[in-house]
Amino acid sequence: MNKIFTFATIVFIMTGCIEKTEKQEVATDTEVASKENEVKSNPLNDVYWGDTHLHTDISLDAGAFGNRVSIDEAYRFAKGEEVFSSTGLKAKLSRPLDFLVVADHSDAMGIFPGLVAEEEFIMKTPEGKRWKKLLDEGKAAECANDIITNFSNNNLSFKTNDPEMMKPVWEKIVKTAEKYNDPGNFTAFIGYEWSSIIKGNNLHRCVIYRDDADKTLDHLPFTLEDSPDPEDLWKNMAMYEKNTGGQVLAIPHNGNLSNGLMFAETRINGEAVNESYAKERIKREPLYEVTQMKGDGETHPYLSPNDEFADFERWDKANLDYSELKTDDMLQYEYARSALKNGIKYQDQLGVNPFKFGMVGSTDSHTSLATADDNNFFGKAANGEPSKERAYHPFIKSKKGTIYTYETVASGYAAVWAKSNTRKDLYDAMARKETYGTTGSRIKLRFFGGWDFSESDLSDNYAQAGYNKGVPMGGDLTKSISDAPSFMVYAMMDPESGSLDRVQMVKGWVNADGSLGEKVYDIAWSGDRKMDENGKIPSVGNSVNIEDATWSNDIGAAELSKVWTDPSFDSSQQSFYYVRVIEIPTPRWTLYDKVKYGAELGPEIPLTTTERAYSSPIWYTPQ
Amino acid sequence: MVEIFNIDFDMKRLLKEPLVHFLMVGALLFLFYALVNTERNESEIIIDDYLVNELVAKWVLKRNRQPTLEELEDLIDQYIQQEVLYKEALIMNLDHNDEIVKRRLAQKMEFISDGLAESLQPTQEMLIAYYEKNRKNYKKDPSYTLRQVYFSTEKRKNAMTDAINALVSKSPETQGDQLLMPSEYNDVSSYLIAKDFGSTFAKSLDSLELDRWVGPINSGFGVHIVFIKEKKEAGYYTYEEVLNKVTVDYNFDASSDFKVELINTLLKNYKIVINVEDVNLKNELNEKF
Repeated sequence: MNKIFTFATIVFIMTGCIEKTEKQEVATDTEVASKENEVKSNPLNDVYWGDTHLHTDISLDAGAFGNRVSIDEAYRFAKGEEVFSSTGLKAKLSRPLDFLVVADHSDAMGIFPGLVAEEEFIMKTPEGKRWKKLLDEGKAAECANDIITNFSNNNLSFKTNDPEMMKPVWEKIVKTAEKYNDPGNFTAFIGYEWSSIIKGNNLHRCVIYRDDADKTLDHLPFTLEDSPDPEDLWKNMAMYEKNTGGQVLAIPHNGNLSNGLMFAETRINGEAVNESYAKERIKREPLYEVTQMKGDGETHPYLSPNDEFADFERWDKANLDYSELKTDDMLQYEYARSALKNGIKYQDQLGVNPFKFGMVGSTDSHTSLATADDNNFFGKAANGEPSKERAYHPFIKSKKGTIYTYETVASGYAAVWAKSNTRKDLYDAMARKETYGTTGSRIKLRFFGGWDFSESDLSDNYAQAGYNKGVPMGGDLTKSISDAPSFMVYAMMDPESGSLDRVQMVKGWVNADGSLGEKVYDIAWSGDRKMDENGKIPSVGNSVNIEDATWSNDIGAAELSKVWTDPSFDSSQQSFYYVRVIEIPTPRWTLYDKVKYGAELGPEIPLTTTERAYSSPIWYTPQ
Repeated sequence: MVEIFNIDFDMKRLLKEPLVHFLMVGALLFLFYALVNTERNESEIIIDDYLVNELVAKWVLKRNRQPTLEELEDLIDQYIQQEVLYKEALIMNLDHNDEIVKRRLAQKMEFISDGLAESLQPTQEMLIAYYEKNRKNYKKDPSYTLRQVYFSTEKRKNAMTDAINALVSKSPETQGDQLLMPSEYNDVSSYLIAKDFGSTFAKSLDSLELDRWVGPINSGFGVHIVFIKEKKEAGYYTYEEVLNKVTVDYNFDASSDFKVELINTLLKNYKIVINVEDVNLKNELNEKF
């Protein structure tokens, strides 16, 4: 007997040695740091497509809604591989993404897998027993609702930020990101979502690190349980940067479900927004997620009555859990355009603009599948995956009303102009706001502002001219060098989506009396349409065939470009400019459901959509 | 060393067998418990530095500070209570046939297996073997050296006809419309071409003739004619080119394979006895297991 043990011991020690040397060889080959240095860099930047906001089965609500697709598969899918969805369907993107942020909810991270495995830490709570019972009875949706409602209203009996519970889950998130991060080819960011909600009002932020595992592994995500106040999140981010020398930013989303809280005039502590708040906010939150599955957040018809494209995929009935209905006075504190306007007003009053943010789009998908294409839409949650019946599934339901699955949007993606596809270059581009958001289609958009652009700059080398003579999207214009700023815009359609209807310039400004103004200019459009006396271009028409969900690109343009000079520039006025690109109408995901699965849809369900892109603004601030 | 025991088999091969590692760890653990357990008196509950440190560490993780003496005593008291109940429960055999205990123990075995699968980094030989076996996952798209001319469906009445006419004209390259997209590619993969022109365009290239103007083919932008100077047929990435991906894929498969293999091996020591009344079901189950 003893001999066998001795033998086993010897063999074990020997194999240990062999493994060690071979492991080291592999490690040097794939040394990530050195690889990042080798990656080719383009000083004029390339556009990279990604999703900064994806949930996997690690998120409590995603798991409850039936998501069984792991974080590993989430990355494989984003990289273009075929995987199986939670409902057993084959899923593949038509084109891979360049980067991904798995942003699982930090609160109750990993509780759902714990619930499924009947782990003691969750089963000892009354909620755990109740949820498990619902799951065993096959009532996953009811379980999910119970979880979200009680979580939203802070009604849980247990702590959702127990480090003992979080640590192994965070380790898994960080290590999986390290595994799939492939500098030059695919970037897997380390991040999470801080899901603050106050009385059902959404204040969520996705938190994204520039750094690798060595810095992030020991810094557990901040949770709602820690604090619902964004100012406390910022303190936590500052502490991380101080302790590690790393960098981290946060991207808020769904102001439309915040009932006036996202861009409010008062802080969570009840005091008015002041200089130190404004400084900290814009330091921590350079971007805003302007469009996603729970509604588009650019502007609202109530706020922009003269903008005929303002009424687009709006979720404006209530807050996140439908516990309080929406009123008109809340709207200006919820949408990106009005926040940008209020922001430049703060710049006048406080000397700093808390809402000087750039734009991205992202999915907020809870299926582990980052889909934003209407013809390949896997839905917001596992219970909204493709099926004949999904359109009428209630997505959010309370005594006050219901939001149905058909209201969810196949949107959006983040486009980032970066030197190369690495964590550091993509992050730096996000920090300088050289980004834009789309509703899922991969429209290529460049936007520069300066004082002396001319049509001749729109050559093959327009990007070089853009950087030489001006600033890119996200930048600042200060000293007025000529009579008015000029802007160079170049937009190219996504060859797999609709052609371009028009390119618009959205301007916002502060008048001398402190009142705010906005105007949307059509600056380039397809065909030979003529501007009417109100300065509007007539509709491009609609080529969608409702019978077979096809369309023709002939009515729109493949590319549109323009050098545009502001016709009503006042050098004493604070202002901002951003570009909106509108595609021709194409089939909405609901129409594909109708054609592919024979879904029966009532007249309340839209069947076409107009995909769009929103650039980060360029700000003019008089000196 | 090996020769001392006069054992004659392919040592190197054995070492690469993951299951061997597992069995060895198991044997070591068994030895360890055999040594430790006999020396311990069953009726003692020992509070040693190891335990105290562990209790303190868990406390610190939760509260971010050291416990006071009183709090530490509370923790130890809780531990003693749990230990007494646990030991008595074992004596009363309460762990037998308890669903939660069973699941927890099975889960612990899985943790050990997962940990092992993770610690067993593949050797280069294993990776190469894996790569060879799964080459279909490392397909390389064809790459092209080509020129394209674009005809806008928006700007022309009949872009398709214009493109066909251009094919037979003397200078096809001067006939098209401007598009701020590459008009030439030099040895570029169809994957990257698809990023610019969409997958319909990239796929259409595959069947086109070389060394002359051909088409028209469609993209989302409109209509194109193409001159393909050189095509490198689709193939496979070399092992070196995709080493990173092969490693990730290997580990992904290995951890699930390892678990299956482990259970199958362990199952060899068991006979599954089907003891149900329903004859049909009995036959069915006997066949299946």
